[in-house]
Amino acid sequence: MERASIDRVVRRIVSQHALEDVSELAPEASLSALAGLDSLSVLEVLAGLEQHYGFRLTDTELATPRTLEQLVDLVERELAPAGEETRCASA
Amino acid sequence: MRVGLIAMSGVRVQTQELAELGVTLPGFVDRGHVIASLPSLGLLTVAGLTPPEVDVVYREIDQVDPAAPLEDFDLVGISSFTAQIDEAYALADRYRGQGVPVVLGGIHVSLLPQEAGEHADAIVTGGAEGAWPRLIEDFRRGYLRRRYDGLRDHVFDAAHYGRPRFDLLRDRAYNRMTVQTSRGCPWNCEFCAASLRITSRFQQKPVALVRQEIEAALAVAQHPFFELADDNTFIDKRWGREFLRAIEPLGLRWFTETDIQIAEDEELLDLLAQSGCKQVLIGLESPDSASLDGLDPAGFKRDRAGRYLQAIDRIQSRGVSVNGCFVLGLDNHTPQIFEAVRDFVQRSGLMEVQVTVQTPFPGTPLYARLEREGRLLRERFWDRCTLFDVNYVPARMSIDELESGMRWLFAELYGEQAVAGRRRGYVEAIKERNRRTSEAEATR
Repeated sequence: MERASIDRVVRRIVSQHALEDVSELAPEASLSALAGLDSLSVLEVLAGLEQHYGFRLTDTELATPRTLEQLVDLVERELAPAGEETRCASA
Repeated sequence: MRVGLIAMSGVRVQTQELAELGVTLPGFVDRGHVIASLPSLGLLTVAGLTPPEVDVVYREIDQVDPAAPLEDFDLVGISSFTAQIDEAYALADRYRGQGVPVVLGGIHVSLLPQEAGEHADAIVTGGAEGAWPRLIEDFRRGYLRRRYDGLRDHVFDAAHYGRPRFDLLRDRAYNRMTVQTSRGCPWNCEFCAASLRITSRFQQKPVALVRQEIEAALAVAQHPFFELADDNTFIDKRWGREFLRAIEPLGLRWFTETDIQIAEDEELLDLLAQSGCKQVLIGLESPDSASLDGLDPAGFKRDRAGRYLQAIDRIQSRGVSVNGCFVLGLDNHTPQIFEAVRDFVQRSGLMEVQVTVQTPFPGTPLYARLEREGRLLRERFWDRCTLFDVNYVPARMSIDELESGMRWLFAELYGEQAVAGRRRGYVEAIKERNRRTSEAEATR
């Protein structure tokens, strides 16, 4: 799946929980800096992504995403066919 | 005339082993930081009860540099919980040493007025309503009485009500705000040192006033998370439904404390989720009925313990997490309690858990009983009223068993693996809520 398409889905789901427009937000923007997006909301975003794509994240993955870009990386990695290399989530 | 209102905040665990363990447990420190970051609603209410022509300044203790000269005020008001009361007294003594009159108030001062009076020109007991306006009037006339007793009833009536001055928080970024919808709790648990000690009966604030306060708070903080400063929000279910419908359009995210009965009202639970409630904190106290016997006069908690699991499930299935609170060291607790709590938490799927040790706060029925029974470890231990330090001889285990059992339980409940498990539980509950919502929309 194209990264741009994943990016659109991630932004749509984040925008359902944040209290501000995220369509133009920089990929490296911190999720915790978004209005209304606390740690529980980030988990709600991850639940939304699991439901949309039908994958199940690991305990570590549920704890790590801190930026929009990292969310997109996470989805891309989950959707990649086994063995295919994908970008690593930035630290 | 310039009045400085200073809030004490932040509690430090005194027992060294526990303090060292606490900083390494992610689930343990998070909540402590949240509580410490809340503004003092009590002092904002005092500010709201002050005539508008008086200049009021709100400060938190971390804004008072102990090495710097004291900020200049004509009158200082200090409010503190028990654990920080000695620091509050020290600050009061400093101001008084410079000739600035000091007023002390809050629950500890209300429960130990004589002690507090030694460090203040005047004390306020009970609620500030009915007391603070008289105090200011006297001060402007040039004198202060030693003691002002505030109202214990009708505190939200128009004649006495003071809207908290959230505007005083403008110069500091708060991402959490507090609003109070009620004072007191009818269950009167033996250990409770909350607002029921300064009220004569349960007091409910009219919904319209609560909504106005929320709107006032929204005017000074951008999309804050709201914490209701209540001890039991949903005693009156009809009021609860009206309140939830009133705040739903505001798009809030919020938290409150209530009791397990909330799970018995399906409509209320649906409204709770729709209104943006993210978490309810419920004092479960102990996982079994037997150890809850005698905790509250009506046996409310004892009679409901057998239904805790179903109730937690019913609330969390709406996507509203339950923060289950347990008190260790009740008189019926033996060393088996630690494993019992761990097992209950795992079985229940509680998404958040808070474990504290029974604490005999001065002025509570628990303190009076333990004092009578000669079980208090020290005569005065206010700085150890942290909810984590042991201050009495337990009935059915040793002090060491209680302390080490608590440390074991903390490691079990707040370690990485346990936190990750609760995180997964929350994600699953949200997915369930999303499925329900989609199904409901499809059938419309």
